[in-house]
Amino acid sequence: MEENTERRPAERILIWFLLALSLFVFVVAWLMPHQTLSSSGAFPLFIGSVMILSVLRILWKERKVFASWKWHEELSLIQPFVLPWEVASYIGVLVVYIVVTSSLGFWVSSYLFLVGSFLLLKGARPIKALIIGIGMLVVIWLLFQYIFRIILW
Amino acid sequence: MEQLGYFLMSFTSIKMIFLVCAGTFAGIYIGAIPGLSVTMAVSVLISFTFSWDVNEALCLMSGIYCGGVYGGSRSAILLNIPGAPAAVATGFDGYPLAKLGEAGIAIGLSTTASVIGGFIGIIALATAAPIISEYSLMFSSRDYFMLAIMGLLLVGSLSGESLAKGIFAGALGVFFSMIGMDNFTGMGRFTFGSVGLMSGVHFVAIMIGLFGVSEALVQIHALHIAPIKQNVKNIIPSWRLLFKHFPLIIKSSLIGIGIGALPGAGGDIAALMAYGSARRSIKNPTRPFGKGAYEGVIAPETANNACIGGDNIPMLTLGIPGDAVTAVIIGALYIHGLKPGPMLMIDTPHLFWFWVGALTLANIFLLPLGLSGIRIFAKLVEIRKGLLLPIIILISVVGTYGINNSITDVYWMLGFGTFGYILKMYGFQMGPVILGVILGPIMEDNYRRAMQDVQHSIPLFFWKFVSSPLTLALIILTITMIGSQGGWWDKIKKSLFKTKSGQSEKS
Repeated sequence: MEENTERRPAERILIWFLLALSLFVFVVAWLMPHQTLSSSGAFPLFIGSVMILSVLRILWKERKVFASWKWHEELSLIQPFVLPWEVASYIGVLVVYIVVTSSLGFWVSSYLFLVGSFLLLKGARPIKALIIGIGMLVVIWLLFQYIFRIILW
Repeated sequence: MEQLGYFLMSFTSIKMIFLVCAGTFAGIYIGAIPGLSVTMAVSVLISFTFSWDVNEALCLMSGIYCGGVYGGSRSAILLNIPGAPAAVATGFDGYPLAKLGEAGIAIGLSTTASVIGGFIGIIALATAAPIISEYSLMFSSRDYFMLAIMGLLLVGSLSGESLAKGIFAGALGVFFSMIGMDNFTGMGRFTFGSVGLMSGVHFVAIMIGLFGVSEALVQIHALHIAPIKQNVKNIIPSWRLLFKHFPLIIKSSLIGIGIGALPGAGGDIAALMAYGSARRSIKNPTRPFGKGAYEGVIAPETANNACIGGDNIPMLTLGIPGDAVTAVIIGALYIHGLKPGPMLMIDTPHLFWFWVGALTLANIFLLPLGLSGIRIFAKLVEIRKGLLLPIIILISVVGTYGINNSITDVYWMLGFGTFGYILKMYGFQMGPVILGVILGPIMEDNYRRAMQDVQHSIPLFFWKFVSSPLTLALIILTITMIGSQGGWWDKIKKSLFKTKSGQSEKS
């Protein structure tokens, strides 16, 4: 299979992180009982090894691409590539939404989330966002109350 | 006679007919929206059915499944953006047809070809599954271990740009599946002393996170792309056109069934193989392939829908998924208390025939729903992503919460969604992760049983592998699959993508 040679900023950082994760999986698996080949730790050890080997393969195969990056150039491109402000702020909105749901309740927090998201992602103008938000919640209430029968918070 | 009763069960209840119809409709339109895959549709929507009666849940699932596989073709034809991997080949000739002003004929042909292919696939499922199921009772732990390995070999075709990334993603999925209590010893693994983690991370939270949230986050990058408008007319193809291509439909159906029946090969491979076969065998196509040949739409669309029946054979008889969608469906069946595998046909044969009946009904609905609603579709693809994505996220949150009424699952979903988004941005595919989650426990449990059978003796373990004719056959098949992954699959892809790039260069 042909391997990728596309340049993506900070890919090597991610791959090194995945290598660290794989090593962590392997070490934790090593600490499990692995006296016999069917012990609790045997299969996790195998999977940890597969993870390590596949990451090492990526590092080896992409070494020239990774080496072609200069740190300052790469660091300046990370944010626009993987976390442009729309994505970063939207992940933030999502976290806030889940956190405040326990205190505000599902309906209020979901309404605020929908309206806020429509505005943030430029899906609708303010008045339209307020109306669509209410419409969506009514549809969700009908669907989940009468069809899917899911208790919402 | 009893089997016929179970088969027709979904046809006799208004509620079930409605659920199949609604599922097919939802599947078509979600599958048709670029960026929203059928796997995403199935994983998000089925989470709502966990509190339902199993029959009703199966009705909705069958509809979403059939509709979703077909739906991907619409955006491939109209926008040149396949809604699902299985629709990639459809776009090779479907989009040139749309540019020639024949989008209606392309959609009509893809719909009828999908429906006919779907029916042939279902006939194959109903015929072959009971036979294979009987044979599969002879399978030992090591055979299931080999089958799970074969299933995981699918990462080769789902890996995207790099096989190593696909293998890592598959292993990552297996790792996720190992979090929690060890089924054999009761010991916690990767729980770090947390009691909450002993029950593991619910795979639906992983699925919705990886396919729902991460896809939505990726789509935020495409917020500024203006929606494309298309005029579609004359959608119903003539009988003459259908009869003329009937041999191609039959041939492509057989390819779809054959590929689908292999554990480790799904609709995308089937569609590409059928397209490749049509290119090679048809000497005088309506237009040259890549420039709007009707045959180039019919072959892949027939094959990917026939593949549904084929995929269901290993899924229902052996418990081994054929692709990412069937992996998700297997997970859903587990939640409903069903165990896909040889015992499914013995313990609950009625559910098998009910599922076959529901798939048939969904295929029937595919025809009118596929040949209509073009205006709705045109409006749907014009919906701003900024309006659509928050709704998808909200549905994902509700679906995840609905599994256990637990906010912890929602946090997991969000975590997996963000992690999946980062992985996707760097070329990792999510299909292998889900396969790993589903196949990991099957592989591990059977490996450990096989090892215990031979008292942990490695020579005896390998001797058992080569001394049993069935296991030996599976090993040979697996080695063939490994060998072929770098060979024929790449060859097909190369020749097809060469054509596609050549065609797009000219246009």
